[in-house]
Amino acid sequence: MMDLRERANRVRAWLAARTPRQLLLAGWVTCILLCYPGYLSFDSIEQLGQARSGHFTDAYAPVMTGVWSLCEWIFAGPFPMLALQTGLFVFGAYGVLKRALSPRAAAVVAVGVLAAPPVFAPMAVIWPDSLMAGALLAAAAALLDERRAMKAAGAVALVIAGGCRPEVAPATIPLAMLALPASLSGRLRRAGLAVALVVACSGVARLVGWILVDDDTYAWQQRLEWIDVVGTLRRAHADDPMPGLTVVDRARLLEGHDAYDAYVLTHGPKRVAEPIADDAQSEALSAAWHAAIADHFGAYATHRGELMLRQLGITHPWLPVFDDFGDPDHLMLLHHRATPSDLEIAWRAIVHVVALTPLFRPLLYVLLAIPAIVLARRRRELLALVASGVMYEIIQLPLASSVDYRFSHWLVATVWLVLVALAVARKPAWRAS
Amino acid sequence: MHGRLDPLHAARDFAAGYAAGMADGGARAIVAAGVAGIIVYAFPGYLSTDSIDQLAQARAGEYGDWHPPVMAALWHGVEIVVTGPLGMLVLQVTCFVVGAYLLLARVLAPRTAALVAVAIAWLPPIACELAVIWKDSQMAGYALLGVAFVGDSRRGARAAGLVLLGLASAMRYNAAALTLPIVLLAYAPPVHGARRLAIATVMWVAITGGAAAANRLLADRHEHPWQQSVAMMDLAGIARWSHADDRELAAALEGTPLRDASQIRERAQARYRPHWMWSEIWDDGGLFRPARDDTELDAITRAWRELVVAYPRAYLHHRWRMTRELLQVPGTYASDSAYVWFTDVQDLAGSARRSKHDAAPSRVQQLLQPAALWLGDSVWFAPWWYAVLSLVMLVFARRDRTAFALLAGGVLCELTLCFAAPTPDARYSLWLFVATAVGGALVVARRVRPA
Repeated sequence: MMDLRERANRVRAWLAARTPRQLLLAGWVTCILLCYPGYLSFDSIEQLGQARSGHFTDAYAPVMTGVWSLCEWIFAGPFPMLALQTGLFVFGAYGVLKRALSPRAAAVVAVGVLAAPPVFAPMAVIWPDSLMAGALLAAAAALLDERRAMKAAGAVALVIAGGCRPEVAPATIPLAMLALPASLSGRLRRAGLAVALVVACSGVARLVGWILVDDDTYAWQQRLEWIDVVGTLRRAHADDPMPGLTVVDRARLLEGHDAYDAYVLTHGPKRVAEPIADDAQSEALSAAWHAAIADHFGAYATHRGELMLRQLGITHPWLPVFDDFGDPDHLMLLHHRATPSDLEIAWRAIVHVVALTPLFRPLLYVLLAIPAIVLARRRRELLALVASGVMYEIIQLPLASSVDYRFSHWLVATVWLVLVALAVARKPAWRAS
Repeated sequence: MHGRLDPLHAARDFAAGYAAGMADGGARAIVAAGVAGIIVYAFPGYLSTDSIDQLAQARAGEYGDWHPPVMAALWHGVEIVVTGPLGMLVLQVTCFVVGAYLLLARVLAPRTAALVAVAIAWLPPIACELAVIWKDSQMAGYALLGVAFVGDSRRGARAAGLVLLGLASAMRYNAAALTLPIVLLAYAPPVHGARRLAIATVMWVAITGGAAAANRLLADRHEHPWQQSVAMMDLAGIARWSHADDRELAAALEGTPLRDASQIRERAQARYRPHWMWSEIWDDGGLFRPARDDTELDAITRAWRELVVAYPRAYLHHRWRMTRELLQVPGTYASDSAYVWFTDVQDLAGSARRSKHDAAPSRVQQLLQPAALWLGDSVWFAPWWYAVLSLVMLVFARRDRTAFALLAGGVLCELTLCFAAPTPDARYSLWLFVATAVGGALVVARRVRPA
């Protein structure tokens, strides 16, 4: 009989003979199996309902609902979206990393980062943030490619990312710069072209969303402006009139000193105000928002600052991991139901243990982003990634509509990718030739 | 090296054989597309009453012997990685398409072999049955891949082939009929003549006995499927076609779970429906009710022996009527042969709740499912002409052992159903469809491109 060492060597040799594509495929399938057929929150279930019915609202990213609706041609349920977002992530990451690493190392790092619990946890759920992360990585990889068709594909990926989270637009500028040839001179010129590309992609995303939406619910506006208005007024102790808006209980409007969930403010028996339902109320809410910021800027800044501290995981404990296949009663009409495999249960336990550590605190990644930027300064593709992650986190300061780990996922993912790639690249054999 | 069977060597040989056979990138892509095509049609896998029962057993880890416990145990293992029907669907479809490709690649160029293999897998009577998680589909997948390996010149591949054929044997009680000609004719150890035949016979006995033993060992409870279905159906059939009077029938059926001992013959004549003999057991007006204890089960066995011996013509006539239904010869009741539901069609919501599994069709599936149901009523699914075609092709396949073994296995498997099928489900004839298509393709390919 062959001894154990010889067998281990044979296994090692067999693994070494696998191509990067095989490693990527195996890693991708494994990551899918760790959360198959994909976790669904309340919002995801509602979005699936819209994708299936073809009746779109702006409550959920309409571009993403459109993509989901297209996916439902081939496979119904969350599985195709899970495959899409994880596939874009892993192949996109590989496309970027192979510029800095050998193909095999790039494949292993791409799969490893996707499987890292802080990155994996949101990627396992069908959320706009997860699809956005995948689309951004795919965009970066495609824009780096010299071929015109790939650059066009990169622009499409930017449109999808912008369609998932419109506020990501500024954070895509560093990625858009990757599309520009190295021969193009002039920093201003380069930046201008990148901004033009981002504006065009964001415009297309907005236009597509506008065309797709059947019913406007002013969702994005309500999520942001209600918490800002109420949170600012509460901190300022100001009982400002809000003409054109239906306040249910003025006493409750000023109860407490913060407000971080627009849904709670506008729904249920303890609601403060009625949700807006038409253009006139939309304009009234915008006016109230502008007035609250202008009249009580200090209170507004405190409100946003406190929200950001929570978002970074500093002041309040939270539950950063969501891993549920969805409420069976909610899903009954959609005919989707799933149970976790033993593999998934074991992986969930690992993710939950890791979630207790600072690895799930975005503050850690804000701090790690600084050395990442310094170390990646000579690798434009890695620098663009981490810059994009940091910019998106900064955008959360004025634009986050609630406190949720997934809003920091892009920063977490980019810092992981860049730092791991830089660490791996320290070994010459693993660097790109 | 020849003297011992090292599992690692076997696995390596298996992988090497697969890699060598699939070396052509284009062929590999075609095979992958063929697998993906059926998975798109079936995703995540259709489930009938039987499948839901087996899924429940797989999850509970407690197996009954109405369905093969080996399949439930396998499903239990698959569920460690992926829950629901998808894992089993991928297994059966992949084994089938790869097996068909490897067999055809012996006589055709790789890409042609891949195209023909995919065309066979996509044949409506094959694809529609492979889409459902059934023991029949599992058997077909493992058996076809087993045939591909069992004739290989490498020891490891042949061992893998025997294991796969053993797995196929464990899936259906009549699988021994299909493995017999395959192992006797297609198994190729490095010896010839009577010695090869003796080794092959030993191997067939080993895999058949091993499969039966595995099912027996795994079963936690005995459900007596033969007494609870086929035997009682046969008794009702004999009561219908024999000239025995009520007194004789009542005496013979004493102790069996008869619902009413009066007017047995008259009731049997009025209710006899060879396309759905379950009505004799499940319906309130049927002759029997399900047996409740060992005494009734023993009485069924005794009554069956007595009445078959006493009225052989009535028994054979009843089985012939059932066989006609099974073969769907013109003039018989053609039942729906395609199944396109993700949970038990008899209780869609209830079975979804019980199995904690549900799925909705994609838009492509919404287009394909009605087409499958329409085709399910067509001659595509009528086993009789596959049987005729197989018999004709046996003549032309006499110089090709593998093709002959496949075709003979198909015919033999169908023959066992003449005596053992409880209902005329098209899925029981899946191996006949497969054997005719693959065996026929081998025969034609050899004549077009002689070796």
